[in-house]
Amino acid sequence: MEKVLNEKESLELITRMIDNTRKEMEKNAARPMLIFGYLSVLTALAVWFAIRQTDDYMYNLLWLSIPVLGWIIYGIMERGKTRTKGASRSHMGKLITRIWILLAAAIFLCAVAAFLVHPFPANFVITMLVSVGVSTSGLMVLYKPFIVCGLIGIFLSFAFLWVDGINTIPLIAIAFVIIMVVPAHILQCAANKKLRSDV
Amino acid sequence: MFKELDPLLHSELRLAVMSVLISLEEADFVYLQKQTGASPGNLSIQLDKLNAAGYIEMEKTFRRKKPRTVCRITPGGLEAFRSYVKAIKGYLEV
Repeated sequence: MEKVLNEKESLELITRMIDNTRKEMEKNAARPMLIFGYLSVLTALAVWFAIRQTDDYMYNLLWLSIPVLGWIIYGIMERGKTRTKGASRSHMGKLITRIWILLAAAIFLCAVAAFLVHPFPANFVITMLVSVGVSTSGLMVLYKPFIVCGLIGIFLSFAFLWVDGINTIPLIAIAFVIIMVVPAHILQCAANKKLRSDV
Repeated sequence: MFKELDPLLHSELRLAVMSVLISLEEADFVYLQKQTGASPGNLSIQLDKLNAAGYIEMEKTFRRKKPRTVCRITPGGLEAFRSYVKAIKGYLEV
């Protein structure tokens, strides 16, 4: 049976549905940043530890596991969510995903170049690209923590032009905490807080 | 003179579906069901009505061997939704 609403109820329903949809989007928005952020930090520490122990620079190949593991973990988590809650895609989400795919391709090419060309300022270029991605995402949705942490990352990336050697790797881990992990947690906390305030 | 309200949108479930789709590029059947709290049968009927009116488009696909219906709002649906919101605001301002 169809329920017909009065004008006030209609407007309230529209507001409620739009608000719920927005909250649902915000709830999972931090997930990719958290996955790739933590994965980058852990990989950096693993590469640093392995090279320090063995002096074998081939352990740098571990960096290539970030996109592979990241997409597998993200895919598994999204699959579970889609099964229970369904799938949706926003216009902005689609645009941000396209930007990150482009940046990921550029980062991959830089990583390959770092193995073939010496010297190649891979740490500088990759940190810069990721920071630009975070800032751009923040500017698109007007979210300050992303804009600010991305900008800090852009400035930090220049440090890699002067710092060199194996000890730059822990600095990369620190940079990724600032660029990705911190803003993602801020976003996650804000979304959780909003959801709790509605209960 | 008050503008007449679109009878197709002046129903709880169809309006809820349109309000969800207005903020998204696309959403599948399960998502719409969770957001609106509707039963699968009722939601299916109302989606067909919106589709027949040209307010939404439905794409039936398969994902991991399971049928999946993806819905998107059309430019006509967007225009109808805008007119509807404008009309109810007109009513309420009195």
